[in-house]
Amino acid sequence: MKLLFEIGTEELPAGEIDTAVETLARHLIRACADARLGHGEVQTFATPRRLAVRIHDIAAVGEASEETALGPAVKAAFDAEGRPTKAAEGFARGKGIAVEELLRVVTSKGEYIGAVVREEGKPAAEVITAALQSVFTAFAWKRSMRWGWGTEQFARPIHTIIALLDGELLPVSFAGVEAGRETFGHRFLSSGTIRFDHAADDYAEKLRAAHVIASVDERKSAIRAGVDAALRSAGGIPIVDEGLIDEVVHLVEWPVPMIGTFDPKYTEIPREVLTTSMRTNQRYFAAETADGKLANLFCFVSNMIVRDPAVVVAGNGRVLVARLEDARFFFKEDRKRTLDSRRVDLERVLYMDKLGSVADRAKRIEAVAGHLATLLFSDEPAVAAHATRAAQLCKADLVSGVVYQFPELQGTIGRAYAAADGEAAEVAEAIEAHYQPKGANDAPPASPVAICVSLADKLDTLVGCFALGLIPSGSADPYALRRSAIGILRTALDRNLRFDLRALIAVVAAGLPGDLGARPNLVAEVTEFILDRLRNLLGQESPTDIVAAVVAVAENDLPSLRARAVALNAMRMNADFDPLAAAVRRVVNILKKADEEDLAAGRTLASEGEVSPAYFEKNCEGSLREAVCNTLPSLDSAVAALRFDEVANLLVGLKPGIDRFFDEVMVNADDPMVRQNRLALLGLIRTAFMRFADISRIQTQGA
Amino acid sequence: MYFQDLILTLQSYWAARGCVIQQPYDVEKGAGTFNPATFLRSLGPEPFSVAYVEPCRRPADGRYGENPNRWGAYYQFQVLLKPSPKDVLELYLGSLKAVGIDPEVHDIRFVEDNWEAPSQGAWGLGWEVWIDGMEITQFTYFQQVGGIPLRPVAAEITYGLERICMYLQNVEAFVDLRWNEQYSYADIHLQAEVEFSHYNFDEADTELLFKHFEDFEREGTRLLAKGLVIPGYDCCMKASHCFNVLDARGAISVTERQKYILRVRKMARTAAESHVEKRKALGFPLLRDEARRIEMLGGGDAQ
Repeated sequence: MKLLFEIGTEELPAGEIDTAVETLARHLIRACADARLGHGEVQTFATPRRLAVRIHDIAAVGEASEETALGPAVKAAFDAEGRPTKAAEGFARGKGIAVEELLRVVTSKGEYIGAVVREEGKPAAEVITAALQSVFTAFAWKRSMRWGWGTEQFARPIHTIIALLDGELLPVSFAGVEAGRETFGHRFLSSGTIRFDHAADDYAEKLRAAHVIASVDERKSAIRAGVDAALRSAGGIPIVDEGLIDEVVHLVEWPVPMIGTFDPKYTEIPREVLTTSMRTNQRYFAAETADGKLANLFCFVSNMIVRDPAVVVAGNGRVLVARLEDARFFFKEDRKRTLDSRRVDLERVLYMDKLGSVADRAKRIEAVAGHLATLLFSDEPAVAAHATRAAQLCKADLVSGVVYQFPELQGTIGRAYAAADGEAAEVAEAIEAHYQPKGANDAPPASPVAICVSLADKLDTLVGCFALGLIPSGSADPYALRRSAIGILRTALDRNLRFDLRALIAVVAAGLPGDLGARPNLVAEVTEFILDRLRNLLGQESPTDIVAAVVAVAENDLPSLRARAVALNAMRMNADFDPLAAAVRRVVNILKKADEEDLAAGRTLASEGEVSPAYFEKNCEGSLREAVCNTLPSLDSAVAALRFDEVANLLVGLKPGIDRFFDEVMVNADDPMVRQNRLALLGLIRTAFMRFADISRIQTQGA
Repeated sequence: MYFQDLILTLQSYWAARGCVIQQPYDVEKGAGTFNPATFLRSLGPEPFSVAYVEPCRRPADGRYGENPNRWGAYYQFQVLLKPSPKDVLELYLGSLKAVGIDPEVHDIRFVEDNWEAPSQGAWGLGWEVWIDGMEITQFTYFQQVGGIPLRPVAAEITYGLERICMYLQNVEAFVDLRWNEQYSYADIHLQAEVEFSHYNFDEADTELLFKHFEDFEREGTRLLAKGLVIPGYDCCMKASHCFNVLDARGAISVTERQKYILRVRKMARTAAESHVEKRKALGFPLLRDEARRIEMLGGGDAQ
C-alpha cells in the first residue's frame, strides 16, 4: 500500500521547514516500527505552503509479536501446598490467561512466573491513521500560534490535509480541518484545487503542473543553477552561498532567478557592508568581477513568472538602492571620526549590571590581553603593544552607525575602520578575529595578537557572568558562556597554548569592579565549568575515562591532552595494562588514605618525604627506587617532547618492580620509620605516573 | 493613485467586507496598534472588525524631512479582523488588487516576521509582505495583548501607506508623493516634520516631559483602579509618547530605557485586564452567538 499525506498551510517560517518535514517523516517511521508495520521508501516534500510525505510498499497488516511478561516470584506465586496465590491469579487474569497456562522463567535474580503475551498485528489503516492524528502536535516549532476561535497550535494556519492510503481517505482532522483529497497549487500561478484519487497518483507531477516544485532538492538545484547562470550571463563570477540557498529555497514554490545592477558608486562602501545589506536584508546573491572586486550585480530568486520581469527587477533595485544609500550614509558619517575617538562613547553603553559600561569592559580586556601577551608570547615583544591597542579598539565599532544598522558586522567594520585610520595591520586584524571562533565550524583566532584579545574577551565574559551568579543551568545559557568556554579551549588546543588556567582566571577575577572578584569559589567554579567543557570536547574523540585520566593531571598543559589521550588509548591495549592500572590504583588508594591521616594529624605528608635506603628491609625496595629514579629524567624529556608513547613504555617498564614490591612487602610495617619510607617510595611512583595521566581512573576488566 | 485616494480605496474595500470604519484616535501614538480600537478591542471574546487610517509619531525616526522614507510622523492603515477569518490572506490580496497592485505583475511574498511590542505586553506571528523586495505590510495573528492570551485570535493588517503610494506613483521619496491633484505630501506635512524634528531632538523640555510621564502614570493608575478603563488607557498612551520624545532627546540611558518600557507595560496590562473584566461584567454584549457568549462568560452566569 502507499500513503500520501500533506499538510497545506499558509507561508511557513523558512528556517523551520527542513526540521519540520524531517520530524514528520521520523514520526511516521517510528509509528510503523512500533506497530511492526513494514514499509518501503519514505519520500518527503516541502514548500513554504506544504509539508508532505509519501511512503511506499506499506504492508497491509503489522506483524504479530510474542513476548514473555514476568510476574511475581515463584515463592510469592504459590503457597506451601503448591497452590496458586492471589498474586498469581491476579497476574494471570491481567494477562488474560488461565492460571494453568502460567510459565516458570528462570532469571539471574531467581525464578518467576511468566505469561506469553501475543499481540496481533494491526491493519495499516489503523496504525497510520493514529500516527497521522498525533503528528500535528509532534512538531517542535520555535513559536507556534492559534488562529480564529481555535485552540490548536501550529506554526501557521492549516488549510488542507490530504491523507490517502491507496485510494482510501483516512479519517484525520486537526484544528477544524478534515482530511480530504485536495490541495492547492501556486498562490498566483494556479487556480482551483488539485485532486488526488489515489496515493499513487503522481504528487510531484501534479503539483508541477500547478507551478509548485514540491521536492526541496529539486528546487535547490534549480536555484543553484539558475543563480549561477544568471550572474555569469551578466559577466559576474558568482559568490557561492549555500546558506542563502538553504533559506531562499523555502521562500519560493516556483523559483525564477532574476538579475539587476546597481550604481557602481556604492562599491566604495566596504564590501562586507554591501554583501550584508544584500544578503541579510534582501536575500540577494552577489558576484565578483574578474579582478576579485565586488561586481555591481545582484541576483534574487522571485516566486513568479511575470509578463514583464523588468518591473520586478526595477522594484527590487529601488529597495536595494535605498538600503545602499543608507549604508553609504552611515559609512560616510562613521568615517568623519576615527575608531579611537569612539572609545569615549562606549562609556555610555551599559555592559551588564555591576560590570559597568562597555568602556570598562574594554579596559579589563586590555589589561588581561597585555598579561596574556607577556605570558604566552614573551619572545615576540611587539605582541604586547599590539594586543593592548587592539583590545582598546575592539569594541569601539559597536557605537558606529554601520554596526547600528548591521549588528552582524561587528568586528568586521572595526577592522576596516582601524585599517583606514592607519592602525597597525596586526591590530586591525585582531579587532575582527577576536570574536573567533564564532561557532563550531569557525576557526579559532590564529595571530598572537588576536589570540590574546580573544582569550581576554571570552575570559572577561565568563568570569564576569559567574561573578554575578549568572551560571548556566540545564539548557539555559543566555549569555552563551558555554560557547565562550569552548572558544577558549579550542584556541588553546589548536594554537598550542600553555597556561595555568586557574592562575589566569584569578587574574581576570582580580580585575573585576568592586568586590565582585571576591565571590567565594569564583575561580574554582569557572575552572570547573571550563574543564567540564574540556572533558566534553575531548569526549567526542576518546572514551570518558581516558579523558578524565589525562585532564586530571594536565589541565595546565591543554595542547598535550590529545596526544596523551591517544597514547593512553594505545597503552590500554597492552596486555600488561590492566594489572598495571590495578597496581597504580592500589598505590593511589594507599597514599590517599595515608595523606588524609597525615593531614588530620597535622604531620608532613609521608608520601612526599625522602626515600632513605637506611630503612629498606628488602632488595625489591632498593631496586624499585633505583628503577623509578633512573626513569624520571627520560620520562621528563619525553613528556616535554610530547612523545607520550615513549612515556607509556617507560611507565610499563616499572611494572615488574612494582609487582615485586607488592608481592614481598607490607607497606604498613610495624616500624613507623619503615612504613613512612615505603609511603615515600609509593609517592615517588605516583609522581612518575602522574607526569602522564592518572591511570587509576581507567576502567579495567575484572577491576 | 493619489495618497488620499489610497486611503479612500482601502476604506471602501474594507467597509464592503464588514469592517467598521473608524477615524484616527486623538492621542499621540507610535503605531496604530496603540489605538484602543485595536489594543482594547482585540481583547476578550467579542468579534470586532475595524479599519482606520492612523497617524503615527516616532520622534526618534525624524530626519528633518531629509530621508526619503524615514519620517518621525507618518500614516498607517490599520485593519483588525477578529476572529481572524479563514480567507484573511485572500482578503488582503484583494485589497492590493483594489489599490492597483496586480499580483500577476509583481512578485508578492510572505516572509516570516514575528511581531512583538514589549511596552504593550503583546506579540503575534505573521509576515512582512514584500512586493518586489519591498516591505509594504505587516501582517500579524495576535496571540497576546496586554499580557493576556487572545481567544479568538485577531488578524492585524498594517499597511505602510507612504511606501505603497511611492510604489503606485513611482516616486522615490515621501516628499514627492502627490496627496491629490493640487498638493504634494510635502505641501501637507513637511513643515511639521522639520519643526517636530527640531522639537524632538533639540527643544523638548526634558524636565517637563519626565514630570508629565510621572503625572500620567499616577493619573492612569488611579483611574484604572477606579474602573475608568479608557481614560486610564489614554494616560498610558500619553505616558508612552512622553517616553518616546525623551528617548529621541537622548534623555534616557540604556538601563533606564528598559525600566520605562516596563512602567508603560504595567499600565497597559492593567488597562487590558480591567477592560476584559468590564466587558465581561457587561455580558460581552457584542458576542452575538449566544452559545459562545455563555461559554465565554464561564457557563450560565450571564446577566
